[in-house]
Amino acid sequence: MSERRSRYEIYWEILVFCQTPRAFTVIINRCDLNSKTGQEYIEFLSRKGYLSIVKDGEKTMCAATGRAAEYITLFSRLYQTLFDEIPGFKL
Amino acid sequence: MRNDVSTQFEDEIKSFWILSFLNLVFAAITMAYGVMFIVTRLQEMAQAGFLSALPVIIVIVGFAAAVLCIKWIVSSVEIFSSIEELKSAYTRKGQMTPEETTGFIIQMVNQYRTNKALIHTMILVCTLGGFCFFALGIMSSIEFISLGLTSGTVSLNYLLIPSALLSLGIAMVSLTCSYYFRKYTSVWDMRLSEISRSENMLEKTMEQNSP
Repeated sequence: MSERRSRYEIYWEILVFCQTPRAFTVIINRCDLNSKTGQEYIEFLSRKGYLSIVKDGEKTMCAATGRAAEYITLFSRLYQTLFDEIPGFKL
Repeated sequence: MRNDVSTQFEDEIKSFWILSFLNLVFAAITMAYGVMFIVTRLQEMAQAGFLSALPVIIVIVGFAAAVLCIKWIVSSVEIFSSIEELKSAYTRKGQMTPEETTGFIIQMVNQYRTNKALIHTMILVCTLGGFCFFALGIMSSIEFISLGLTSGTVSLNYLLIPSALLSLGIAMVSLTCSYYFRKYTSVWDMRLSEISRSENMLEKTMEQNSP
């Protein structure tokens, strides 16, 4: 079902997962992305200041920043509103 | 944490699971009934030794309904397996953090995005199937009372009552499923348009917050 996700949903998944610093390969596996698109998403988030790239010895890790927390909160609020405000489906 | 949102989310998963399951069960019953119906009518026609218009029309309508059933079953299985997967994952989770709840909402949204076209097909198939069986039920009901126009006698064939009732019952269930699938799509289409608005807001936020 991953191909149906919007880019904002993918940003959210990456940022939530990177609340603990993670390596690039771990991120793309967990978020079900290929290397190319994974690289694009991570670069974008890093450029916008939502992810910081941290060197941990040999490894390069990605960690969510304080700005990411704002995005995660806003995204969660907007998505939970879908169930709060729109009358639900019930038999 | 199972908050109000996740309770509603859980109710929706259960409701849609029940709808998909009912739809699948009735699709299977309809398929079996449709085949039985056609075979019985063909036997009757063979025994009678001549062709009259009404049984031939009934067989043609029955055959159309059976063909629709194949499409109905295949689509039902696809929809049911996707919601079953989501329901099992949700049940396994138990206590959930707000982030996990949001994660499940994303999965539910994606489940709808993936199955949207299929659900629209299902609405069409259920409606057409419903009308086919409604027509079969009406025709069987007409056959139940045969009028001898020349002799002026009325004869009742009680053996056709179960067949007519079953056809009308399947028609009702099929049309009800179609109604609920339509209701489900209207809820989710509203949510998808709300998501588009939310994405505009997220985009603006990201632009404003750019370093």
